[in-house]
Amino acid sequence: MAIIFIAAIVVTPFIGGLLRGIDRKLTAHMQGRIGPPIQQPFYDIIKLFSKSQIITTRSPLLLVYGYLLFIVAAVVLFALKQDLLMLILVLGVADVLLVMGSFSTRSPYSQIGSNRELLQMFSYEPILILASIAIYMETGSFLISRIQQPLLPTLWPVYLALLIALIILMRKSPFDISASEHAHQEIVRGIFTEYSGLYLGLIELAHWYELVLVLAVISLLWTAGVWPGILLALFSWFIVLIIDNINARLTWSWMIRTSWVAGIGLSILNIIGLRLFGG
Amino acid sequence: MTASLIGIAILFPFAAGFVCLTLKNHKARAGVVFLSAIVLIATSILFFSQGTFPLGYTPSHEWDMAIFVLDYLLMAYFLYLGLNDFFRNGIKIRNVSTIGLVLVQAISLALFEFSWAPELPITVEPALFIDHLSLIMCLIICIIGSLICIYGIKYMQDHEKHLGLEKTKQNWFFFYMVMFLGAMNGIVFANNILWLYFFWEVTTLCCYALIRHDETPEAIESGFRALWMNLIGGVGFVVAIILAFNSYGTLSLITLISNPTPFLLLPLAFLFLAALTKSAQVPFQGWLLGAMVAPVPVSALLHSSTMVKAGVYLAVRIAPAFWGTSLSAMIAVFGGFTFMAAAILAISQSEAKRVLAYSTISNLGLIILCAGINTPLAITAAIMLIIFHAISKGLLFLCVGNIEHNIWSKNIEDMQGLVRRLPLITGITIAGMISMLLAPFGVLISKWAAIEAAGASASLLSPLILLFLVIGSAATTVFWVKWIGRFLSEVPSTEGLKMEPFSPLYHTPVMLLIGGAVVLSILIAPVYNWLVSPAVGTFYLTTVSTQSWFFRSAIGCFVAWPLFIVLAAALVVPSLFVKTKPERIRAAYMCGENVEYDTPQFRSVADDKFELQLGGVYLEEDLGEKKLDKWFKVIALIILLVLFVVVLV
Repeated sequence: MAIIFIAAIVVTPFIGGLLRGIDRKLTAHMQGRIGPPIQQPFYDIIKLFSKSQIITTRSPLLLVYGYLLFIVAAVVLFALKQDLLMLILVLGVADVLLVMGSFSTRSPYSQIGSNRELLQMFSYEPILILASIAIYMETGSFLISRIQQPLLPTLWPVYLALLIALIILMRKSPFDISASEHAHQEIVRGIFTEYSGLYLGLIELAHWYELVLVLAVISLLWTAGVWPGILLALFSWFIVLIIDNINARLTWSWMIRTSWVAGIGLSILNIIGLRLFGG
Repeated sequence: MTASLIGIAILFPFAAGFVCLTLKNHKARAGVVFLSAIVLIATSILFFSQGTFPLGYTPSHEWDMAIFVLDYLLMAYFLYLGLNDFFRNGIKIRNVSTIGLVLVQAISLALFEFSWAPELPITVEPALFIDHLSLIMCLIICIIGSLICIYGIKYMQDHEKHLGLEKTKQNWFFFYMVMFLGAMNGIVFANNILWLYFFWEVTTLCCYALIRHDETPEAIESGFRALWMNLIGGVGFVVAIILAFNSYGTLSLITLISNPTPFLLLPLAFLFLAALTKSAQVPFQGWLLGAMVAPVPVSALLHSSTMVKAGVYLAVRIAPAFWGTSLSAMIAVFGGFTFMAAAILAISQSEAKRVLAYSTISNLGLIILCAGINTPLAITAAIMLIIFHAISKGLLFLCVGNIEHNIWSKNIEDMQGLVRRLPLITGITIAGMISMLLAPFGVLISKWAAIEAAGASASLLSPLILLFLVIGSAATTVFWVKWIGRFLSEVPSTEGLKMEPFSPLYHTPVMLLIGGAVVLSILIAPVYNWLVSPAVGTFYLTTVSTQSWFFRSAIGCFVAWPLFIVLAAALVVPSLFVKTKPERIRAAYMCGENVEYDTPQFRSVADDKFELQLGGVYLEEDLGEKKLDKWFKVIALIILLVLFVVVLV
């Protein structure tokens, strides 16, 4: 157990950073650019950590550590194959701490970003919870350790709904409304505007953990051995990159409508189907 | 021993209330309130540690006669209130409905007792029945209720000073406040449904009197609304009494519960109607929202340990009787709808007490949903929610009351940056909100259990219930966090925090409550083993084990204490590492040059100074009361109608 514990904490950010690097390379190619080397995110984070600290107030910094710690806790819970619903609630704690941090500085941009981040949670949290319930209905347990059969054949609508949640969680277009991926837009960098140096680096690190965690949750849908799940997760990740590159950022009300009608709709239909026709 | 403890728990508050009424001296009255708080807390704890449960107890039969007479006196008083208002202010909805509902109640009860019933008054063996569920309620009522009464001593002094009253009305205030606790203990101990009904009506009286305490036109209007809406529940009660006696031949609540007859659901449905008016479920939420005009201790009492908790107590109490029926499934839908509707309506509210009120309604809906799902795990969730919600919500009302007496406003927008102006009380408030909102605190463990139980429910309606659950739960996060955001949103300053002066009567109760919320959440395993498990186990087979203090059900496992370690680390680590030097601090970016570091102003067009204005989002146009309220009421009414149709068919 101790080995899994340490491996989850140490290995995960490397995978996450690598995925971010490939993400930037692929995105650049799709846009007809060459792009940075794949190890660029690691250079970035090392540089961020060594910068001198410029801050507005103290409380956001306190909450950044909480954000990182709770995401790492969620990763560990996943690695130890604990309760999926509890894991989603823990992920929610992390996001709430991030929002609280950005609320505590009187910057218009980070406040707009925080308000929008709340609306993002409003959009994706129901999808994640419904997904965990649908998985329960197939396996008879909320524990990740009990998932032993490929779920995708009966849970494909839930998978589609999870794709929507994945776009929001990866903060990609059309749902990158709380923190525009590229600065110099109307909300600057939204929720992250007032972070710099070490603390921006910690947030980036937390994102790597979060990215791997969400992809790992998606991989649960195809657990016939390890590889099919990983392939499914990578495939989903690639789809999100394509969607990101062919879409503009849209409004929050459009996001809520889409994620609720399509995301919650598909999940609920799936659950109704499972209830009526059995698993 | 147990007999005298039961007597003290019910009768002592009545006696102390009457003493408060006669005392004109503030200090003497404060002394009586203190004394009754100590007596009640000691009684409840002693009762918990001494008694063997479940136990039945029947006091001498004079009490049956006394309650029989007092019942009609109480109804006569309600009738007088309605008629008095009618002759003074002419025909209004409030007095017509009060008079009408009281008459319906009085006439049908009189017909039943005087002509149909075999004996007068109807007696039941045992008259009182106390199991662990009653005991949990008794602990909540005595401990939290008493803390609120103590807080009220100082609050009411400040309140009357602010209003500039010449003659104090505090004797009446504490008369009703303390008596309320006795009536609540009566409700949770009663087995004879007639006794239950009597105490039920006493709480309606206390609630009415406390809401109209300030006697502004708004307070009187709200008081009457609380009265007549709860009288609807009273009518439901009388109908349930008559139907239950016809079908079972007894008025013993326990007999009803332990001999479930699926085809005799109608009396239960009417009892449920009484429960949901008391718990202010949509479409009856109006009275609880109106109750916000009352002084803060009243709101705190109504929302945490009394009144609305009586409703959910009754719902959980009668749940075993409708186990596995279509009524149970419809009750889950009804509660789920209220959970979602109230959480969504809370988003658009900018008045602190209204947000808290909607949050209460929403949580009560969740408890009723659990009672409707009716599996051991769901009932566990319901009882844990009753405990943790009582602590956190009582705390939050007391906090808002304290904040209100510092800034003389209840508007959330006026609370911007309060964390700097009033660090102590704001810190406790934020902690209280977090205990309502985030894992691994007790409310969230209960919510986790509720979602898993709903997922496992075999009912065909469960997808609908799940839909209500997930949307309501996401909306809950939105309205809490954006309020916390207002507290935290401060103008940068290099000065350290300065605590406001400590006021024992204000701060001690809130500190005890937040301490209780945290400690009980950490000790979730013993709390479950000592209190919740026996309460569930009276009528259900318990399925939760707490091996190595994990909260493990048949289908999932919540690891609470490791998450508390993470939380502690998240609080401790940064305070060790984060060092802020004044020269490192800069003003926030405002897309223009900042005027000065610690003023929220920036230079824009023509170098003019512009004030930075920030505010929370309320989404008034999309989710406002104006747009949604009537639709929610219509849908809830339809669900209620379907519920009764399902029972009748």
